[in-house]
Amino acid sequence: MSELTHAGYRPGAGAWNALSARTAEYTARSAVILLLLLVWTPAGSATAQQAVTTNTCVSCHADLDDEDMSLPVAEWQRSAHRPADIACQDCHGGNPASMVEDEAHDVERDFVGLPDPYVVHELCGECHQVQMENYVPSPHGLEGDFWPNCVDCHENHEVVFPRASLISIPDNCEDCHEQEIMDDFIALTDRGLEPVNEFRRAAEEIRSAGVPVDLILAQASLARDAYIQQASHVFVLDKMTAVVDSLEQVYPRIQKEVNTARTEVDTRRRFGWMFIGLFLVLAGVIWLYRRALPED
Amino acid sequence: MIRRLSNALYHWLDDRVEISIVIDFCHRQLTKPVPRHLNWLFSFGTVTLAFFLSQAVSGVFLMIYYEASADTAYESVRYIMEQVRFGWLMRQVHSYGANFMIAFLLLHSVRVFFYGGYKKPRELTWLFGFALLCVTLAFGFTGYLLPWDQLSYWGTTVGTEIAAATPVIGEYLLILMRGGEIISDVTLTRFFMAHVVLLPWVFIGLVAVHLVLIRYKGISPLEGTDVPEKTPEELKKAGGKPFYPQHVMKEAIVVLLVLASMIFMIIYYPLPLHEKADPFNTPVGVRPEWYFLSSYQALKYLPKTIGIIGSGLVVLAICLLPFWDRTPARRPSRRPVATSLGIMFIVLNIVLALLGKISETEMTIMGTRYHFDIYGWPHAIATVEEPAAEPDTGDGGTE
Ligand code: HEM
Repeated sequence: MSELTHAGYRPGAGAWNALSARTAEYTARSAVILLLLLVWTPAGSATAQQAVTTNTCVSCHADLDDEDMSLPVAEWQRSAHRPADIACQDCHGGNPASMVEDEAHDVERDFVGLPDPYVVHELCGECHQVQMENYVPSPHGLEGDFWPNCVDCHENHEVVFPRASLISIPDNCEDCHEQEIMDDFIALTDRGLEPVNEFRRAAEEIRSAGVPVDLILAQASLARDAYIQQASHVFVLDKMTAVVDSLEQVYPRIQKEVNTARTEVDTRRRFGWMFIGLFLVLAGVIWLYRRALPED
Repeated sequence: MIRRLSNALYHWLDDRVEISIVIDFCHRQLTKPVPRHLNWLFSFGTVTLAFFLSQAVSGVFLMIYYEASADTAYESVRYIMEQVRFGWLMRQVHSYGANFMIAFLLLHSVRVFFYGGYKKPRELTWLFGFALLCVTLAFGFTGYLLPWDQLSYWGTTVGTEIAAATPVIGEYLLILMRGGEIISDVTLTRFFMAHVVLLPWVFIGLVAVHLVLIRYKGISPLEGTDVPEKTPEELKKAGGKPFYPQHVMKEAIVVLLVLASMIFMIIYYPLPLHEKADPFNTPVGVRPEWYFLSSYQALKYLPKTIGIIGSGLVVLAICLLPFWDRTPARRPSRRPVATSLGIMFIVLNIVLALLGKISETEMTIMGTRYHFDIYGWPHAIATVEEPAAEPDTGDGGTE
């Protein structure tokens, strides 16, 4: 029970106390914002730039003159890793809480300036396990002497969500591969994953119209997981083709679910409009009838 | 034939319980004319009433499947929305209806305020109306918890916390509402009881008196309280129309139009059911329903006790309005002070509600991303073009 009390009730009480403690300051502030709102000016430059993180790697490196040393911060801030709370120390080691350079770069704490290209996949693989397991035995892994490795395609600091267009980064693939093979590869990826994206988009749209889509989303996730586990980072066209072919057996079934849900949305709207029409006609009839009533 | 039968029944009943007294009274009240100046604004009361009836009907259908227990409430609402035939419609009609009802109730009170409808001899009508306002807000507050989703759970948590800040009896009030330290199964049961048993009956009683008073005294004239009010005959001569059927028809038209717009909202912007309530996981940006937002926000800026006492006094002042505003004028243009104070009060509430709405959210304004703290105060967080691109193919993450 006492645990429940803490989770459920105390946080709110704490918030209340914080509220009353800072009242004076905020009364003034609120007066200002009321004014701002009234004239509809976006309040801006004057407000304090809020610290986004207390990570000392970020705070120091951001101000370094040497671009090679400061640019990674800006790149990382645009990356998909930042919202996921994956920061410098997760790959470079060191102590992200120290303001002292030697302590921050402490090799005892596994600090490494440039991670060994041969272990990059292991670093990434700590989270992206499935991808690593497919990559290691692939032509790019052991066979290819770990070339290219994760960051060669996905970037090191500005890691973004993957997309088919990454595959065709000019310097990446064309050294070894014909453009034709690349095109096949991209087409295959699209064939495998584009329908899933489509289903998800449709599901979101249908959900916002009030019709349940849990089944659609669950099936889409299953298909996506199957692709990731069996086809992504495998880098063997035949293997991928087999996976995508079998997925394509499933897609029509999901599409059918999507269509059924869409029909339901349409039906609701059609009936809705029927009733709207009915009510409007009724209102009109009453209005006419009322006008025709004798004045008395 | 039918006429003969009903006549016979009438006399039979009249001999025994003198229903003629009631019937004559009703007949007189129904045909009594309403003043000429009644415009569309005067139908908001009826619209509110129509929504109450609609709530009663859709509520009965929801109750067939709803289960008021913390374990199953959420699932039962989901079941209603996804499995029960027309269940989605009933839930949408009920939850949209609640919002519409409160919106029109507020509009109605505003209309009454600006037209001085609360002045002598209609103080009682106002008092009963005020009680109806409290009961309707209580309907909204108790009903909001019933789906037992994250929003409703935490909205109710902060809502009841406000009550806890009342001096002296606060802690007691909180326990009374929650039935314990936290919102739990016990809270749900008592909210459900209030929502479907207690409040409806109180409402019916209050609204009956409200309506009888209105019919009995007639709608207030535009002239001040110092001018004697017209008798029904005088009203009729001055161009007043009979309440039934002319005025009733006019109101029916408004009700139909409002219902049509509610259907539009339901089919294009249905209200969602969020994730199931999780007492161990407070979501960010918890806030009560829109009609409590302005007071909720106002309380953030004030020290706890002062805020509660202050807003209590404001509410009391509104309740007792007819007894301290005894000026005779009714026409809005003849009472500039009251009219401008009223407008200022409304604007203040809208601004506070907007602040409440943006607080604890993020928004991009002219290329800069802002975080709005709990006071609605903006902080720039970053001047980035666009954060990381959306997931496209599914190759990232291990899930
Ligand atoms: C669920 C709640 C309510 C219902 C169903 C309701 C219904 C009505 C109806 C049908 C009228 C006739 C005139 C009109 O519609 O404008 C009326 C008049 C009136 N209402 Fe309400 N009302 C409600 C709440 C309130 C509230 C909250 C107040 C004020 C705090 C209020 C105060 C009055 C007064 C003073 C009149 C007489 C106005 C005049 O004679 O000019 N009512 N109400």
